[in-house]
Amino acid sequence: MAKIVSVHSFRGGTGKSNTTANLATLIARAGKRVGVIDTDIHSPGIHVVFGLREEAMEFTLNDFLWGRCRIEQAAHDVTPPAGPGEGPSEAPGAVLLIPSSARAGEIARVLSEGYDVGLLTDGFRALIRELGLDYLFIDTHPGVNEETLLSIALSDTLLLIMRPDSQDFQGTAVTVELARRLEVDDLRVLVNKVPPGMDVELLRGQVEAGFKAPVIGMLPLDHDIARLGSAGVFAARYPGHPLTQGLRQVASRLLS
Amino acid sequence: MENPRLGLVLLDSPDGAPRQHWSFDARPVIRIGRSTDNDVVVADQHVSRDHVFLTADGDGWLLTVVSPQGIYCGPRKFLSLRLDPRALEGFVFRLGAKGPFLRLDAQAEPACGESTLAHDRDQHPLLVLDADRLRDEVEEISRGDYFRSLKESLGRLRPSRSEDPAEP
Ligand SMILES: Nc1ncnc2c1ncn2[C@@H]1O[C@H](COP(=O)(O)OP(=O)(O)OP(=O)(O)O)[C@@H](O)[C@H]1O
Ligand SMILES: [Mg+2]
Repeated sequence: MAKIVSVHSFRGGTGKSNTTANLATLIARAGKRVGVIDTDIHSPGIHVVFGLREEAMEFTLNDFLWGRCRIEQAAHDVTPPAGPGEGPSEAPGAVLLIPSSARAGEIARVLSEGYDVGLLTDGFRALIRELGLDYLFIDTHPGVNEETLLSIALSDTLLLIMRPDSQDFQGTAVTVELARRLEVDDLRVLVNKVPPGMDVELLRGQVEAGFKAPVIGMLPLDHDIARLGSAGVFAARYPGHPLTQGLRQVASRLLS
Repeated sequence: MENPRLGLVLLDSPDGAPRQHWSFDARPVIRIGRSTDNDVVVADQHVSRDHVFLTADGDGWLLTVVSPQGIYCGPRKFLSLRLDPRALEGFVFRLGAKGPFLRLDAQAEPACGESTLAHDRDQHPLLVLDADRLRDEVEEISRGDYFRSLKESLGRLRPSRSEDPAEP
């Protein structure tokens, strides 16, 4: 049975897309078939992290929503090649991305016409079945809207990303409460962009006490990933980097 | 328009020791109040959730008080005030008749990325949660039509889980 993991944050720019791309890659390296769907239709972005160019997309999630293709036809194999020192991966893992269209016209159409959010439910199921997925990661738009509520409701695991910031904390608390009402039982918090010098154990304690949910990892504010600027999957480029080690720990916690 | 850097210093008395300070670069508006979505969050019972907004006005600043508590300069209560750039430095006002004081500081040190500088970690919690606001926001969203229909269709949305014998 495939696991649906929704990655969400109440505020923007917490690192959802980069973290999703990295975790999906690391889980694929462990031999799993991992789907990644970009439901941030209004401001798509994760395709950039995977280096999938607009011209290379035959179909996108938008085409599925408009009835122009089956959802699995919008899947693109974006499994990053093994990085230096990683050795060839023997395992049959793969990352399959269903991008949202970054074309201005498509985004404008979604904004002006809307679409049947319910179609996403069928889409997720068909993807898991047709692509034989072990995991489906859902990258979402920040904040709370119909797509994000639906992806939260559908998820087996909800991964909430926040920065160590009171506004993120307040907003994430809202999502936590909504997720509880939607009976999501596996809820984890990832604290990202922790600046140097911050008392991480104090922070962890506050988050866990505030949300009554486990912290799955605390990742540092890191110059190297910032410098990469979403132009690649960090864990594939820098397999030995301390940040990759942190991400790997999070991935293995998701796997177990 | 590039408005200059502005610093704010929180004080217990007009000439007391600084408790906390903030520095903002080229911000069109700086929101001050007790609730945590403000730019300057002052956790004090005499301060309103949203208390006063500072908006850049040419090279000066406009103070717009959104709390009935007002702000005080000496004994006088104000609901709005325009500060000439020459009057900025060292200008002190009080949040409400009994709240703490804020001092403007035009020569503030640059902020290092974030707007809040020099958080006093030992005295203030790292992260603060406004429980009232949390409850209000959650209630508002969960009363919405979409949320309610979603909740009703949970069994159908997650067929695997609805087979669980343990019904809540
Ligand atoms: N641990 C980190 N340290 C430093 N920079 C990071 C870290 N994680 C992500 N970033 C950077 O933060 C920026 C935002 O990341 P990303 O696009 O993944 O966030 P997002 O939550 O998906 O944003 P949006 O809400 O706009 O979709 C990127 O430039 C990324 O490189
Ligand atoms: Mg994103």
